[in-house]
Amino acid sequence: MLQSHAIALAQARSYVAALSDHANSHEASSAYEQVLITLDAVHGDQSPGLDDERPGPAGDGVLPAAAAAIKALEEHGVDVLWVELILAILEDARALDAR
Amino acid sequence: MYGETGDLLRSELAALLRQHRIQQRLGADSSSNTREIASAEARAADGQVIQQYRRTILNWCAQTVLAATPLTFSAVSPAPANPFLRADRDPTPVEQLARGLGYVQERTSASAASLELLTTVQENPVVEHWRQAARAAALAEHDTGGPVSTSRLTAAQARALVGDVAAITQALVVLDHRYRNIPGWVSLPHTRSLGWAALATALDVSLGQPDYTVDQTGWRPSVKQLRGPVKPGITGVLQAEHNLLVHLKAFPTVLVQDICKACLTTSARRARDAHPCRERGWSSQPSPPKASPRR
Repeated sequence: MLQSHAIALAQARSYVAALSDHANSHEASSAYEQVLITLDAVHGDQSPGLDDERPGPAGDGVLPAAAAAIKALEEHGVDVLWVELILAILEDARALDAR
Repeated sequence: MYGETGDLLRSELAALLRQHRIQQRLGADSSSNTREIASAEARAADGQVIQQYRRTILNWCAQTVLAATPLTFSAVSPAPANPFLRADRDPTPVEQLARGLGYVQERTSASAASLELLTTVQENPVVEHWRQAARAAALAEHDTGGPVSTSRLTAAQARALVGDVAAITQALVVLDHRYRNIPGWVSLPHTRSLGWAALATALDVSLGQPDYTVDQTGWRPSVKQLRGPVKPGITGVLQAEHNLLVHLKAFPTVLVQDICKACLTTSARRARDAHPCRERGWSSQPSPPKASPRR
């Protein structure tokens, strides 16, 4: 995996993990974690780990940043169908979190 | 080839996933710029056509995963057997996906798209994307459908094929949820379990080593000769080489004998040109240097 790809993937996972940590319900948190699972399914065993010691970012800008980081994976060879699937699952998690 | 049809199918489904607010997009053609929602009858009519296209894609998914299942092996190690229980093997994620797709195929009432529906260009852009995806799935049946095609695949190639089916199944589940408010829309049965089976299959495939040379397999059009007058220069040489290859792949005829004779004659002539020294009687030893006069 190239360094730029690893950085984009790490950013996407970090933002989605932060969304999961600050979700309003357990169902929404699980839905965000499904995004992480799908990201790991696409990249196999090559996903970089998350930092558990430092708290993730919070605020309204996290969701657009997560979507942009996932969209950027398309430039690194990730199949376009998988990118759109992950964005759709992220959107469903956001809708669940907004209830 | 499967690479072309699979790529078309995935790109069209990705284009459909990018489209939100589906109620505003149905029931109108591409020339309509209004954001008003069309009548319920128009949206229902488009919904019925989309369901037929969806059935065609589902048929390909079910057929392909059923044919590829015997070639795949789970990358997840099985749980240790309980000696006090009957030794039944838990189904692998691929088997669960095949079972789920078979169940959905049996319970779906919509029929597959007819040849006329697959070949008629649709005015609505959303319906046209579905038509292109269904057309790609119908063409992919020639590449991957049935045990005859999949018997030529390796286990790694079958794993890559199953990974594609898992992604397409997840896309159909997401789109089914997004389209549920269309008048007359019939949702797929047990979409949650189907979606989880597809995700588990994708995870299982990613833990192994899928071989994406499966894109090179499938149906290819037959190669024909380049007829017409002989083209000048290097183009004519390429034309001759192409036609020669086509002849060599066909049933051997007298023409092959003429080609072999021409090759022998050309090789003998080139061999003489490669050793001009022997032909002209020159010695192979270098001549001694001439002595310079003393001053």
